[in-house]
Amino acid sequence: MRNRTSGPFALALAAIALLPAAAAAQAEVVVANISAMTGPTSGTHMMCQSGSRDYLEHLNQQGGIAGKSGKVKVKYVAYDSQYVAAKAKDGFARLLEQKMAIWTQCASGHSDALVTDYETAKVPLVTGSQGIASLYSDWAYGNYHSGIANMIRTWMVWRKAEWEKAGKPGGTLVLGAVTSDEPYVPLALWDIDTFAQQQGVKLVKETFPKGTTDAGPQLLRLKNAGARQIYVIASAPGAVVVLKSAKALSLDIPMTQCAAATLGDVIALGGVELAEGYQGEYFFEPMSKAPGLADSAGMKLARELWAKNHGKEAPNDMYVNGVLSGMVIAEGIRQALESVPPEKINGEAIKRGLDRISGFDAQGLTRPISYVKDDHIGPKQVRYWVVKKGLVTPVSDWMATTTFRIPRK
Amino acid sequence: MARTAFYPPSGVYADTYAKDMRIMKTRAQRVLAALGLVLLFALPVIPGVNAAYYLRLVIGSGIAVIVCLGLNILTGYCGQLNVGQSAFVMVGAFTSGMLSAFAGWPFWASVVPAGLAASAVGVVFGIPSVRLKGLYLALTTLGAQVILGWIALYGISFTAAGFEVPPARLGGVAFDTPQKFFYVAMGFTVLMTFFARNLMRSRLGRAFIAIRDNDRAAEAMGIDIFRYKLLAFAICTFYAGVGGALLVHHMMWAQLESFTLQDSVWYLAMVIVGGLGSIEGTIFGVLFITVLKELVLVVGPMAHDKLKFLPMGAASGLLLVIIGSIAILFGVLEPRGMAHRWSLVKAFYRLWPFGY
Repeated sequence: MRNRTSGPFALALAAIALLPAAAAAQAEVVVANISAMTGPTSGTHMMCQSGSRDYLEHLNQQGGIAGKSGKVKVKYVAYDSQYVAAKAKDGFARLLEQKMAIWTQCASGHSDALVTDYETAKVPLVTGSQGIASLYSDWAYGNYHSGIANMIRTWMVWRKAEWEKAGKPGGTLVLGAVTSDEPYVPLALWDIDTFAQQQGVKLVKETFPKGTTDAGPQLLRLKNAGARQIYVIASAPGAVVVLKSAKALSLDIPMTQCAAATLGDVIALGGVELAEGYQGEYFFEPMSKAPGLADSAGMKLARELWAKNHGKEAPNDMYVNGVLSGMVIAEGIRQALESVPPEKINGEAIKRGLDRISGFDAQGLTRPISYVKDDHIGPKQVRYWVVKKGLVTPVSDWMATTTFRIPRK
Repeated sequence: MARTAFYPPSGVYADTYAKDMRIMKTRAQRVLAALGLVLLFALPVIPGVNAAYYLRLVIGSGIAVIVCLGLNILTGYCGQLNVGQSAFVMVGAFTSGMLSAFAGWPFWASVVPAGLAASAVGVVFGIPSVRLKGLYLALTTLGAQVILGWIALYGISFTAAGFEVPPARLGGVAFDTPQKFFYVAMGFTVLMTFFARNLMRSRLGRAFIAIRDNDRAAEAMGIDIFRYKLLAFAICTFYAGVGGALLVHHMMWAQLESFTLQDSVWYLAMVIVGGLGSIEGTIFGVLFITVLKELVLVVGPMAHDKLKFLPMGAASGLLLVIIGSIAILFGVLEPRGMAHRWSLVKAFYRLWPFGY
């Protein structure tokens, strides 16, 4: 009996002995995420984080990321910054000790606070953040980013083009902006009056306090000033307050949500009826788009990943932003693997890989991405959508964003 | 039993005024304090704990101790409620940050102006304390948080956008890593803790305590209430300003978002949990809350990974519920704070085995 069992037993032992060796052969790249997993912005941040995590896990399940020199798997680690810059910096130190080679985040003002940290550590950042002031750093790569100050600028260019197409009704284009007093708003409006002047547009601005339940007076003043369209710079709760106030006043001025929140967020928070006719800007393909519109291959994958990992929950557009970040990260690693062996993949190698990205289409989730020296902004393309019966449909084609940069302080 | 903890152990005699005034009355206390300081300043060279992450936490705790010491002097010792401490930290932070970043002042020269600027603003918001008490006074300090935040948001463009702050330097050494800045932060923490400890044993400290216990009685004893209340505000906000100066030079970055009402609430929670009117309690409270918060930050992502059946974000948020529960339990079981619990432990040790 002993003889009969010793053979398989020895084989099993050998297999167990070989397992660590086999595992060691598969190199691992640590991808880190610093997001507000708790706190008021956690909803958006968690969606982004889940998107990139799910996409990279999906690649792991398919065997990893492969290049000419070999294959790597991704280890995804995260730190909860609670939207506090000091905590984000603590988290960066912690993740560095966990050997992070590349990091990502969603949207937060504290992103700029980390520039020195990731430049010094030579760990590239891939971001889908509009909250970041500008991508000054040579180590930062945007997956749709054009900078927070370009949201309203691009919208003004769009509205001016439409107004000119309509034969310049009224003689002067008057546009309105209603903003909450959230900390990122001054960045969004940075030197905007000069830009308005250059465009020959009269821009009227109104502010309502965060947490208020009525933005009626502000909207009325914009109406009295003759605003033909209104741009809303607020997160989703603020946008809902604006929409409710507009409804109470029977205001019929079209309004557009800035990218601080998606139309999907506003629909989820305010309801289908309230969001009807509300416009929004997307730098990527939204998940909440009308079913009649064809999905890109990337969107089909995003929907599959969502169904697999979060099937019971309602989908959110910011998830796509996360998937997009995951795709850029994976492409950077893949490019790095073209010339660097898996065991030597580090931040600098991935940066060189990201620098080689050219015409990357992210399976159609956004316009092609190319990174060149001094320009890591990303696709720099935006498309405007409108809510119709709880789903979004495009009201513009893809168009180039403005590329204004807030001066580095 | 508890009261024995406030007195020196049996056999320790204060036969001179100098001996009676000693902060540490026994040799054991002095040796332990010296060892503690040596251990503290040796942390950056001890393998295992000298990782940047851990040192950053200790530096953050040291800065919070300074800010909370100020708050405890005002709220714990003088009885004036302040729920806007983070706004005064912001004044100091921006003063020091701007002096360093735009005027080229060295960090060392910017610390005192930062404290004085915060102090000047603090005194302005402290003026209503002559007529207001308790929750009403709290509202004025809440006003400070809102007003100063508004000024930083709309009044000065770069405080809303944030700006880089150069690291502290001494000669050719730049304190630009946690390993180096640790010594700066801990130096200030020890110095300001010692100052606070001494201050509370002085005429000024006794006046603060008298005002807290009964302001009318204090006035009847000849204490100029208005002057001393304003002094308490000035000292509290000076501490906040110095804390702010350290914070921005630690982060090498200054931005409005780092100074929120939520931060003010955390500072107050640290003081209350640690023990109002206690210097040791302030340190205990800061350490306790810091460890709890860190637990959320580290365990949250892990919980999110493991508890996939919960809606997105619910697992990490769950830990905040746990923290809230601990805070409630703490309030119910030990309303006098950790300092009181510590004094009970000391009394038990001194009286053992006859602690009946």
